[in-house]
Amino acid sequence: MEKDIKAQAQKKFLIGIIILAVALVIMTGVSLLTGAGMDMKKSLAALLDGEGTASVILWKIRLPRILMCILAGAVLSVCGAALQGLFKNPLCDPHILGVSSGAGLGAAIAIALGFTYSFLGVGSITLMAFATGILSIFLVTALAKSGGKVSNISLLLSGIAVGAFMGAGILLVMRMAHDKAENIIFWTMGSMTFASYKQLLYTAPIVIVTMTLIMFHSRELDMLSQGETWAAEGGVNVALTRNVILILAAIGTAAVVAGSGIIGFVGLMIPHVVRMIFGPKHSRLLPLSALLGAVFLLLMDTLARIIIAPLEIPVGILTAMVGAPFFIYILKRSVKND
Amino acid sequence: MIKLQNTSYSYGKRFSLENVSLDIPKGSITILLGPNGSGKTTLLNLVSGGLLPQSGKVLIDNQNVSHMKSRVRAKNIAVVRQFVSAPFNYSVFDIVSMGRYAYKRRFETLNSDDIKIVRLFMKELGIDSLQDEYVSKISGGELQRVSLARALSQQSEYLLLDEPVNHLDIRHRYDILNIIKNRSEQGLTTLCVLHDINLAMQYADQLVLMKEGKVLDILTPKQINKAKLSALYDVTEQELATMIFDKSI
Repeated sequence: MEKDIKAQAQKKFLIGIIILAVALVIMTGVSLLTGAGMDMKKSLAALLDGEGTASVILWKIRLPRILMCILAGAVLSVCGAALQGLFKNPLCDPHILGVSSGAGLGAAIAIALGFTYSFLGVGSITLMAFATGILSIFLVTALAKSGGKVSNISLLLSGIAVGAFMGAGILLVMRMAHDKAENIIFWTMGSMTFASYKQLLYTAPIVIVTMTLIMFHSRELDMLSQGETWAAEGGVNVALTRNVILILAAIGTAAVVAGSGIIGFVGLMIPHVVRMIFGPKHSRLLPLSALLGAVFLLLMDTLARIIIAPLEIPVGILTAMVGAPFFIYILKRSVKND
Repeated sequence: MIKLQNTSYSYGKRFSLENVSLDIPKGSITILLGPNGSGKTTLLNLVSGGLLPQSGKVLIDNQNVSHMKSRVRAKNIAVVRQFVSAPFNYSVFDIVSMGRYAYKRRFETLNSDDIKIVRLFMKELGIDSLQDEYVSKISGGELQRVSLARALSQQSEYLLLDEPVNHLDIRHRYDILNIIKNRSEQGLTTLCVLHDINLAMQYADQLVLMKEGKVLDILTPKQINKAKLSALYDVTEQELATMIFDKSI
């Protein structure tokens, strides 16, 4: 009886993985063949032919962009799911906790000052984004803590406060470095336009390692999503796990922010949808969120490229337009449950 | 044996627990009695390792609780508190099987022995038919039994309970305490905070009377009398008489 139920859940999970993987392949194909300046027929010809300008657009511009979308969607969703579990709070995600803006400020400073150093091939924009992203997530949790406990409402409020502060910092940097302001503006709206293979070279390993390490903590996240005391009394090293997850989430988010700017709400929405269908267990939630996040962001970016073609909407604007109403929906639901 | 040696803990300036020494013998049920703010829960949290003593120490089988690693501690001590359901909907089986966490290494999954243990305690607590229900869909009494089943699945030698029967009706109170009594006869050592004096007198092997962060007295239920209880709770003996069913006190 119980074996059946366990096997059923496992079967549902595998079917979910397969469906989403197929969806990702299809979406990749669609995205590769659509876009401004080149209709699907021409794209398909270029794909089969493999020479000329059309082929360059396909392989040098569209494909790296698609890969970046996949990585960004996946890691943002995994980080969102992990933060929601860690804080036992369905309203968390890297954006709402101020990490995106924090990482954004670091990156903006690096752009404005024209930093050119690099470490192990990782560029200065990314390094600065890491530093300020990690800093802001710890700042948010420190501010939210009172009497050794982090309450949901104070976590959200301090996330908003730190996010606003960092956002103001970004504006200040833009004002002071007007010659580079346009660069920074485009990038605060979240856009995949600048995706390149060079950038994927370091974003991909960081993102993949971060997601894998977060997934290693599935069981701890299950325990923590029942509360810190509950987890500690069940044998989880809460302080260590919390710090590891916070750092990983900040690094994963910062890697995306450095590459493609601030893309909000993906990390908030995707884990919810997955939880509704597949349940809350992190061993299933995290991989499924990664896949669904990738499909979703790729869909959003493809739409961003074609809705007002030949112009392009920064994808962050689209995700926010879908995400903000979703946030209100979850907020209403969780208020009702309280 | 649980041993508190000159243990103190304070929140800010006010002592919550002041220089307390206490022995809790193996296989016994020890119940902490006392008015609100007397330090009962603080004492429990010091034994669970959730709080670190600011002076003195807490030993469990001669090991300092503060120095135990998380998993080792969970194998020694399990805790039952008022169950507060989280926003994420796990099934009863998922929650109870979390009691096996401390026995599993990172990539190990539940094996048939773990599942056997989880099922055993779900059965003992009468929640085996609920195993696939979501915890948000079950009643308060059932939730408390889920919480106890999870703690028992930890197979620790020590069990701490903070108001385990609050908000439960009389039937469920007896059910929970009978199970604890049963486990204690099989060797489980229990430390319990309880507000219900009548139940405390029925189930305790030893009663620890606490007030203003200090231990006033350690007594067996037989040694309890009206004078001690009325002094403990600052009530008159007439007021007390309305609360106590056992008229021999």
